[in-house]
Amino acid sequence: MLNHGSYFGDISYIFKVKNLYYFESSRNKPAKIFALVDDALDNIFDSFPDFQKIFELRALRRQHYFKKLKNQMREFTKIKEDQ
Amino acid sequence: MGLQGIGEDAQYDQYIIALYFVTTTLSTCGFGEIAATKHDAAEASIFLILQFVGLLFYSYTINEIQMIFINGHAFSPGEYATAMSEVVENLIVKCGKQLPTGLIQGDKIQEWKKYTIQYFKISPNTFLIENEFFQSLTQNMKVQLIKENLSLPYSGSEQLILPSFYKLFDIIFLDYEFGFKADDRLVCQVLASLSYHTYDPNGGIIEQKVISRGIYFIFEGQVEVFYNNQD
Repeated sequence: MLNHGSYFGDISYIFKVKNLYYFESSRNKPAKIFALVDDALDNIFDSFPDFQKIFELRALRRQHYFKKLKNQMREFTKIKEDQ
Repeated sequence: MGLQGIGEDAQYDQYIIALYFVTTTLSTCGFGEIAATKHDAAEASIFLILQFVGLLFYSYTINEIQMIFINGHAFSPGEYATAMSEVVENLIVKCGKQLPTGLIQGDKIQEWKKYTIQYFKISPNTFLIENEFFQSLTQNMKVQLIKENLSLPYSGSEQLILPSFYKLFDIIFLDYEFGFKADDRLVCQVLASLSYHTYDPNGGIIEQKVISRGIYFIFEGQVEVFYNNQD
């Protein structure tokens, strides 16, 4: 569950890889979302290359974090199943 | 200097007169009774530099004083609406040729001007996010409007959405680890490029196994993440 103040979609968009997950608004409440879609982000990156570098590094860091989280979840499920 | 009547032995008087000269020059008063010695290029050059420093000092001080008054006073919705409509009118005068053709035809601008104040009084957010006119402006014009929008302190009950976005997502504008801080130009460019969407409960935002169309920032509500390992 992602709360307000979080962002997503950056890893797939920046590295042009397919999303591993699907994202949908929670079942209780509508979600208000701001988005930088289509060429909006590319135009910003063209004008501010430093910002692009920072964003790419952050996306890499987030990807690494999500992978770690996924592995931990897998191990946790395995241990639970063994028990 | 061309001031007469102060002896070389009167050291303190000389200091006071020098201080008086520098102050009158920096404050751009320049009464004219003290001047560079005639035909002394070196002295004139020093005074020239001092005059430029004076101009910079003067304009900086005026600006700072103005900011104290602006920051000390938050704009009421009515004042805010008037201020923003002035900004928009200036923008139309400055960038009229860049306006989309649909907007400069007929009475559309007049009609729009008429409603600007009302829009801003009711809801500055609705104007900036959903208004047809704002959405059809060029990127540069949007950036200029947003710059003004960020700089005006607002005392209305409604929370201004773009400054709130800026605060909520300071993580993208500030990064202490990489020593990065976005400048005003970048902040305004990002804010001007945002599109706003409301998703109903259980509404899909990004599908699995497709490349994302962009980056999504959750402003309100929650988003659930699912993994489907079938097929």
